[in-house]
Amino acid sequence: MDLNKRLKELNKLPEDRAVKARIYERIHHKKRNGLTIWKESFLLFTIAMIALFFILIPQNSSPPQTASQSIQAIYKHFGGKEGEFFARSSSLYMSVKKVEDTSVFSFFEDLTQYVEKADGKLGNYITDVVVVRDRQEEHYQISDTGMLNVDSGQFFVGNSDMYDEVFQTLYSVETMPWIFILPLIVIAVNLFSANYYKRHNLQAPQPSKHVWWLLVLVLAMISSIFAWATWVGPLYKPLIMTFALLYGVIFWNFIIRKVQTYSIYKVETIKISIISATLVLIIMLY
Amino acid sequence: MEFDELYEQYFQCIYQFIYYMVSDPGLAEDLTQETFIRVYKGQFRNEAAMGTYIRRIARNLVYDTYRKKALIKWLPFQREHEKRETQYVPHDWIIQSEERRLLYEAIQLLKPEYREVLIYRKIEELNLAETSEILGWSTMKIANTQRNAMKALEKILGGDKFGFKQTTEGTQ
Repeated sequence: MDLNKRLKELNKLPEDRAVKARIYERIHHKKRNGLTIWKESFLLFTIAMIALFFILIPQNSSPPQTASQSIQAIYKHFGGKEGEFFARSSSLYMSVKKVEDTSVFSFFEDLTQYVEKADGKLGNYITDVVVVRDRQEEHYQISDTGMLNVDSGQFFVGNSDMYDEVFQTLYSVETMPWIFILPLIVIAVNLFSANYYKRHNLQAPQPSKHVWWLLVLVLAMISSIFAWATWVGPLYKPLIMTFALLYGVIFWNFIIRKVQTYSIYKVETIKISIISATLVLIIMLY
Repeated sequence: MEFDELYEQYFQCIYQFIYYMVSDPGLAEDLTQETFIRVYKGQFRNEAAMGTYIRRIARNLVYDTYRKKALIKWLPFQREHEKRETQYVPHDWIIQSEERRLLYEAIQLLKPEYREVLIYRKIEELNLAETSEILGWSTMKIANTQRNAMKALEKILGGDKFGFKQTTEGTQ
C-alpha cells in the first residue's frame, strides 16, 4: 500500500471513551475546585491586607526609662537640609528610624543643661529629629555645629560632651544605597532569562498592549512616588509596597494566564520571585 | 464556543497527536488533561484559530516533556509526573495489525521534528498554512522537513537494521 495511504490510516486511532470521560471529569473537578478570577483577587487582596497589617502594626516597644517619662518616642532622619524637614513620627517612612538610645532621651528631657541659645547656622551634616513629648510633636534639626528648634526657629549651640555624644548617636546611620541593587537585579534576571530563551530557542512571552499600558502606568506611579520622596518628603513604605504588590499581581496574572510553556513559566516565576524578594528587602531595610 | 463543545471537537486529535509523540498512554492522558486545563484557563476568544491554539498548547507540553530532563534539571519544585520516565506502550488498535504496528514503530524512530510534521501533514492531513501556524515555521521549512521525514521513514521501513522489511516502491 502507498505509504501516504498507510500514514493516513493512522488517523483512525479509535477514541478511548474511558480516557475521554476520565479527563473530562478531572477537568470539571478542577473547575469546581479551581480558583476563579474573583477568588484569586480576593486571595491576593487578603494577602495584601495581612502584609499591610504587619507593617502597620503598632510598635509596642516601650521607650527607655527616663526620670519623668514625658517623652514617648524619638524618631530621626539623617541627611536632612536646612529649611526642609524630612523626619516623621513613624518608622513606616523610609529612612526614618526610631531612636532607642537612653542618652538621647536624657538629652531631650532638658535641653538647657547641654545647649545654649545663640545665633548661627547648621553644619553640613544634619539629622532631623521628631520628639514626641506628652503626645505633642517637637521638631529639631541637629548638626555638628548646632541645633535648630524647627517649630520656634530657636537656634542652639552645643557646649558639652553630652551634645557631642548625642550628635554622634544620631549621625551614625547606615548610608548604604540598597535601592541601587534593584535595577542591577532586574537587569541581571532579564539578561539571564533572555539568554536562557535564546539558548533553548523559546519564544519569550510578550504582554498584550493593555497589560503593557497598565504596567507602564503602575511603574510611572512608583517612579513618581520615589521622585516625590526624594525631593518633597520621606517615602511612606505601605504606599510603595501596595504599588509594588499591584505591579507584581498584574505581571503574575499575565504569566499564569498567557504562558503556555512550562519551562518559560518556571523561569518567569523564578524571575518575579527574585525581583519581589529584592524589592521587599530593600523597602524593609530603608 | 463553550468548553464542552471544544472538548468534544478537539479531544481525539489532541490525544492522538500527544500519544503518537510520547508513546505512553499514561503520559498522553496527563498531557491531554493539562492541554484542556490551559485552554479553559486561557480565555481564548479568537474562535477561528482555536484549533491552532489548542494544538500549539499540546505541542508545547510535549516539547516540555522532552526537554524536562535536559533543560530544567536545575529548577526546583518539579511535579511528580515530570520525574517519571516514559514507557513505550503501543495502543491495542496499533498492534492489531502488523503493518500498522511496523509503521507506527518506524515513526517512533524518527526525530521529533520529523514525527510531528508527518503527524500534521500526512496523518491528520492539515494544510501547509495550518501546520505553519502551529509550528511557527515557514511553509518552505515545513515542505523540506516533510520531504526529509518521508525519506527517513522510507529508509527505516526499507532497511534491515530495524527488521522493518517493507515494500515502499509505491511511495517513490
